Amino acid sequence: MATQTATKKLSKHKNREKRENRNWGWFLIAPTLIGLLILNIFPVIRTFIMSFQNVSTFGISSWIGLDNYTRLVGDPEFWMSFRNTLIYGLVQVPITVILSTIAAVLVNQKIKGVQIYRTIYFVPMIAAPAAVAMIWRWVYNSDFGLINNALRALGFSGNISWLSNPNVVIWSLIIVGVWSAVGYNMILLLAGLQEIPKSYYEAAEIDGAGPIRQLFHITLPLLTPQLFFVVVTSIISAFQVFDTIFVMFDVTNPALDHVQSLVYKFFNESFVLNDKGYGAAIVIVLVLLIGIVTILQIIGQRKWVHYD
Amino acid sequence: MNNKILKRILGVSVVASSLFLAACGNGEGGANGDVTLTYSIWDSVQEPGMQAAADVFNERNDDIHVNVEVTPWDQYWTKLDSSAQGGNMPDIFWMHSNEIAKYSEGNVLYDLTEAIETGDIDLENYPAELNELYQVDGKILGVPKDYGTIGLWYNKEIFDEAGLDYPNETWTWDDLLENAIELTDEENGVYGFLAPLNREEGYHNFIYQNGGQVLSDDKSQSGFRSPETVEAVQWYVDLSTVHGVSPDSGAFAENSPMSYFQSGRAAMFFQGSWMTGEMANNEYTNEVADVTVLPAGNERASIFNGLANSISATTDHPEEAIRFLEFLSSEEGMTLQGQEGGAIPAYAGTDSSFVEAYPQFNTQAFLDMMDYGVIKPYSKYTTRWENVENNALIPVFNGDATVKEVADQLVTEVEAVLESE
Repeated sequence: MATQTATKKLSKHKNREKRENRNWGWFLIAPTLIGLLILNIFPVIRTFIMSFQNVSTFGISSWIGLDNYTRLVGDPEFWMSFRNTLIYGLVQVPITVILSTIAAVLVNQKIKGVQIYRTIYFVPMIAAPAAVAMIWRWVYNSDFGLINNALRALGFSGNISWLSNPNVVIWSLIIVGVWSAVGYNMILLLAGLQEIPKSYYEAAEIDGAGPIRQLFHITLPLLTPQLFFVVVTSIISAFQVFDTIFVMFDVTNPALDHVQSLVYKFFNESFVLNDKGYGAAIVIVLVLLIGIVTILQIIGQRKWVHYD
Repeated sequence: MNNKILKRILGVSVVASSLFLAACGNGEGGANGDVTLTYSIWDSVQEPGMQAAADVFNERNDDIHVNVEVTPWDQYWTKLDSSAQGGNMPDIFWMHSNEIAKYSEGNVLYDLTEAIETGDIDLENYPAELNELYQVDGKILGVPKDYGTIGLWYNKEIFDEAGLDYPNETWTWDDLLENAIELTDEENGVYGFLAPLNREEGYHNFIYQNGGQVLSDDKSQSGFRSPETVEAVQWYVDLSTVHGVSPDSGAFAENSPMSYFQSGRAAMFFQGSWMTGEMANNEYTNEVADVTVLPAGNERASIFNGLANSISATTDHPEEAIRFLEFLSSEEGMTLQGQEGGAIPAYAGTDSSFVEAYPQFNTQAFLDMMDYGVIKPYSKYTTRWENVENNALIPVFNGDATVKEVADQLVTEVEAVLESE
């Protein structure tokens, strides 16, 4: 009898504790959750709704159904932006990931001053994107910039117009993108590298494997979870490129249409030309693009990512 | 125990948040019930002038304090747009011809008609076109604050070295071209003239000097239908693509016209009167630069535009804001602004203070050109058709097409925008 009451009291006590824990849980995440709802979720829903409307001055809107989307399909500037965004994402990310991996492996050694190297690689991440773009704009200047002057010193006679040659501008953008992102991804991959047990390397050495073989058969396979994370987040971020374009290229730049991204076109339509409905439609298409690419990657991870 | 901790945390957060809200909610009304007005502007070169006017006003009016806030042009309109939607615009702020249509449509500007009829402001004192610009559907939504015209700036040093006479009011297009050709020195990278893809400070002036138009008088058609317009723009483009006296579009993508001029690599260029302060602040141009009226085509013309001061429709203190507006628009207020040399004050007669602010330059030229000034072309959706015009002419300035070839498409697209208004 006593044990029964004791058990009942115990389970009641446990239930109350569970409830209190849950309430604490909600209470503690409330600030972030509220912020997320108000500043992220609600605007996304609102943008989605706006894409079906003609939004004129100060939010006065009228329903126009799919008109924005049909207009989008027939707009050559939209397709150029789409193409530019794709090229940028699909070229910048692999280059960044490869360089980050190499950097992470190099920086994972116990040599003197390795902390300084790690800091140097990471610094681009701390600098404000607009400031970075302004400096690069000067570096790319075809008459006075560092790059062309260095090339001239090395005997290269052609004068590359980094910022006004339509064929070159996308590469100028990619270079800045890679430079900014390598540091951050390197740190992420470094964390992954340091999780790999040393025992694997010791066993491999005993078996007579050289450093290159170790890299390809131990390091990379065991690094694939972090690589997957880095690739997915890098693509999501690369498809949203805007700041660098906005600062490095003026509206009158003859090569702007070869480097304009979807976010840039969204900004132009929404805030310069004051057609927020059309801008919203462009952004929704971008969200779909990123979503589809991410889903494809998640499905594909089974093929190449090894989780322990 | 859990409940006690919870209560304590809630108690502390309630106290903390009430303090926080009290601190940030208190935008106006200090301890003594003062009214604080925010005056929002976008030009830091003009800030001293606005601050001078605000200081005098603050001194004379114990119960009002005006704060001048500068937001750079690039962010000014986005910020104003969001503040309009949020219902907390600055009390009084600058308005521009590109945006007046949008803000009047949104009904966020205070209707000043009554205040002007009964108060001290007399619109006769300001240029008629500017008054018209800021009146929409019979409502007066802004009082003109300043005007700006475009001048021909030249580098005296380069002219002296070449042994040529300085430009003056007798110059024509031919004089401009001839001298530009002589002054262009490819070896040293010096250009006779700068002709970038720019409307207000560029080819729009040439269009009107040739008897053309940018928009028809009733704003339903594009001026590019007329051969005079096409001819003028082509003449302007040829300066860089045919005669080589100006850098090409690729070069301008990297260096602004002002930086060419300030580094001594350009003999002449067009620039608005509002950049005079910048010319004075730069040691080099302060010494060697001077300005004169624009050369004549078949006619004389100079594009002029002006800003206005507007009041928010949702301001908590309309009376005080109107009092400040009356001061800003008065002869005294205008003179104070002009003395700092930011822009040419719009009040008739006070513009001489601008001339006196810059004894080293012939800024009287800017005032003289108002005799034949043409208001900067505008309509309800100005930015949209300007964008169309810009994009259509990019290949022309690149040397890949002539103005005539793109004219038809330009006309169609611009008129589509005009029709949607």
